Amino acid sequence: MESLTRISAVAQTTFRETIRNKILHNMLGFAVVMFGLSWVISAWSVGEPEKIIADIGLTITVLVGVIIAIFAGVVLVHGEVDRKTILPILAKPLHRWEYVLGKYIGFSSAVLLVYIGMNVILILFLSVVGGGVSSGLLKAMYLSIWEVELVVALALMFSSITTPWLSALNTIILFIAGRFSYDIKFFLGAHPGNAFAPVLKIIYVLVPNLSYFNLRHEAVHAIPVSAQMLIYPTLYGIIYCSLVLLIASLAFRTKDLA
Amino acid sequence: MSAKPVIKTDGLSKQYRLGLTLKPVDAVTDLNLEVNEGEIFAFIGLNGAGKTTTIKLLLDHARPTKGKAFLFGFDATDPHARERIGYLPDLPHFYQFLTANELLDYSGKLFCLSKTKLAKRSGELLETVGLGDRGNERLRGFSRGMLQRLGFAQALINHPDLVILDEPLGGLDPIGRVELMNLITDLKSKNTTVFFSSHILEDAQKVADRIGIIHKGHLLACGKKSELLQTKAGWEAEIAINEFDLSGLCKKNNWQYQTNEECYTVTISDDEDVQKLYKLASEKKINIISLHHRQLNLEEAFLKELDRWKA
Repeated sequence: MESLTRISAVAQTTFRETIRNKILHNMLGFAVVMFGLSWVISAWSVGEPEKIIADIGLTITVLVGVIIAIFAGVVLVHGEVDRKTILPILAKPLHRWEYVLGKYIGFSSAVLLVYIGMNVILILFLSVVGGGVSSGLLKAMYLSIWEVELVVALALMFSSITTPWLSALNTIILFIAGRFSYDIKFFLGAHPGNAFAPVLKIIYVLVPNLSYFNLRHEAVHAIPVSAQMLIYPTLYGIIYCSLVLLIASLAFRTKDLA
Repeated sequence: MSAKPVIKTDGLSKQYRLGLTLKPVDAVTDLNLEVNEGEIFAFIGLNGAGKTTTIKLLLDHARPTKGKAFLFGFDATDPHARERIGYLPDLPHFYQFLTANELLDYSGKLFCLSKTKLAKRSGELLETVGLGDRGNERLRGFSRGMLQRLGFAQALINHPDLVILDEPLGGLDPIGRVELMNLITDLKSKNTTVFFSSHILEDAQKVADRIGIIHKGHLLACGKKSELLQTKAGWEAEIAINEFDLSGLCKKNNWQYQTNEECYTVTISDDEDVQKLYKLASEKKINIISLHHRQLNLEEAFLKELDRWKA
């Protein structure tokens, strides 16, 4: 019970910090501008404008979510160590893992709030151009939340270990690799005897499988989405995030605060 | 009956590895220290002596390379050890985006204080440190002195039995220093143990009961203030001014002296010179008003320990 109180105190303060961060407001504004731009593009394009807006809109919400996750996430722990604001906090009866978990919950909640806000704006845009809100669109929005949450966990993990620049670089590399993880699987299937196959298999397992969370195509083209397509990625997201947070906590457990 | 040690270190050592070559640097070496309940302990040393590193080891901000630290009998790496502790860091860096009330609220929740207790305590503490009317202001607009005072308030949120202050007097104006020293002595009156590091020796001498002197990671001396300062540092004579030119005599004998309208104050280092002064006094009709052993001040005791260590 005491652990919960402490974790929620850290989470609450981190949430406040993130929500009051100007980067977040700027990125939200940027997302709105991009939705407007997708409206203009859809007007000039051949095809159904609501599909183009939905396609571009879903991509923008994930990208903005990931950019916030990376650039605000990589300074979450390291920034506090650098600014020494962490010293009076860790002088209190707080376990380091409680601190890491509280940071994650607070930050990911703030990112989630912004992410939901962006999706609501996207839905309003779609309603204005005459496109309805399909269940496929909502399912795609739901799963991409997990993609962003996973990037938040990765950014936090690197922030507990190394400097913000290296953390950002590592997170971006893993994000890109995660987006192409399906191609690794495809390559392994096509070339099973390849000399690099064992290494690629390890990379495939370690790298987050972000394509798992991508239902954009299904949402835009009204392809049915089964329950398994939602449940398995959700479980994968929960397990992957938990493992990443465990590594972050272990790495931070005995770290000297300079 | 001897007091219980609130802080105890046992061969505590910390070595950092710096630069690309990972050159080992000993920040603290084999530190054995005991701080007892209810006392004000000043931990003094030059910049880079190892004061802040010792505090980091006590608070588990860094792990020792060798040895152990204990707080209230708990291993310092156990978070339970910090339940009865308040801490003020050397530079009062707090979250700029929070208000003073929010910072105290956050600090209190980490000690699992109830909402009602916390609201009452926050109000009391802000009044105590003179920020009663600034509770709802963001820390972004606070001066260094205000942050230091707020830092003191957050350190006391849990009614701690031990307060650890890292250079609490640095960066404060004279009034701020006096106020903070009054707060420190107030804590002692409530039987709270205070451990503070400082390089401002004058202030340390005023409030401390016991003093530890650290230099280059080594504890050079540790004991009651009265014991550290009792070492005799020669003689001090007060001599009435008359027609005799005493200043010439002092210069000739290499005695230090000060003068005011009524008398000279002469510092004499050894007993032979005292005899010489008595002889001159009878010959030249000099009136010696007083003659007594001179005691070291903390600065002199500190320099003496440093010289002894170098030798």
